[in-house]
Amino acid sequence: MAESDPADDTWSHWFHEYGPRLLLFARQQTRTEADAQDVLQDAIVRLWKSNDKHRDSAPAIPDLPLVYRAIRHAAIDLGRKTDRRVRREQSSEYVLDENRDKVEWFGGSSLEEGERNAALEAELQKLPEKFREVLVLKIWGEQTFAQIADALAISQNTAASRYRYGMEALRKSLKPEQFSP
Amino acid sequence: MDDRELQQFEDALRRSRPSRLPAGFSERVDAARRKDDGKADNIIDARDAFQWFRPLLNAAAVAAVVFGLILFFSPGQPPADSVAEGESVTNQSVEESVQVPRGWQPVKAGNTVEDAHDDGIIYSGDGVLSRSIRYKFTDNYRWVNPETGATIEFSIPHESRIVVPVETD
Repeated sequence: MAESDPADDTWSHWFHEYGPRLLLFARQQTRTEADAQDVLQDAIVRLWKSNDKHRDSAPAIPDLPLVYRAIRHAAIDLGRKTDRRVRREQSSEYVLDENRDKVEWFGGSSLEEGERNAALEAELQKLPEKFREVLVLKIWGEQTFAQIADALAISQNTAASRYRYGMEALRKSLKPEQFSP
Repeated sequence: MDDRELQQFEDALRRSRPSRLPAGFSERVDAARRKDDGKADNIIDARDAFQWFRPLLNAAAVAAVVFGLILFFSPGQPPADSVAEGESVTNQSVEESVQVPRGWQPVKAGNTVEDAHDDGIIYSGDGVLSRSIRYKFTDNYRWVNPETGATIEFSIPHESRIVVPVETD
């Protein structure tokens, strides 16, 4: 029986822990679930490759802020390609069904949790992207404003003000009883 | 919403946890990472296979650069038919052979006036009333190497002040 590589175990553990929040952020940066998964995979592989250039031993686990930044860059690259593809497909009367691979952003086991999470996802999607991405990074990505500013290439003040605007808009739109302390 | 309310709302939102990764996604990313590692290894192997060839390439590059520098800086040789071996040489032909241009030689020198500014009436050192005019020139030069046909052109800006005595009645 072959022994598992400790580096692979570390990687699996890290991805199991942080993968869901990384994918949630990737979903904010892309149009479809498939694109979000592609972007996250691309970002991880890129970072892994760049780490490999500087190492002699086991592959290092990338820093979380770096991964968020890599996801954003990968999404921008994909967006450019997708824009060209969509234009081509529209010109050939191909109808793109963006909701065909829809998945839930938040997981929950009970009916109450399911309703709550569905409401949250629906209201998040109504927010402008610039507010939404800051909220996702701050609340579920557990990033500081400095790290958010770095990942999104904005100033810390801008990140903080977008966070506050986004939170106020979200609070007004969500039912208070579902999101009370 | 004050800071306390903001924090409470944030905590309430955080109770919603991002959904788990889709089945097989972790394995897919891991496979992509390994595949990429494999590609990188193959590239390194291919480079290693040509390691013996590198010193030769470097030596060839150095030789080419040295040869180019020698060609560029070497003075031009006199034409082969200017003085044939064993032929009697007259004084005139000696003069001509001396005057045959070798290497770089200037073929053009000139200047253009870019701007002129009248500084007005001044008293020059000896107390003569004069008008001072500042001219801005660009001096243009061209040098040619007749052996190689190479040409160098360059321009140098310069400024001159010309003092013209003013006639007074």
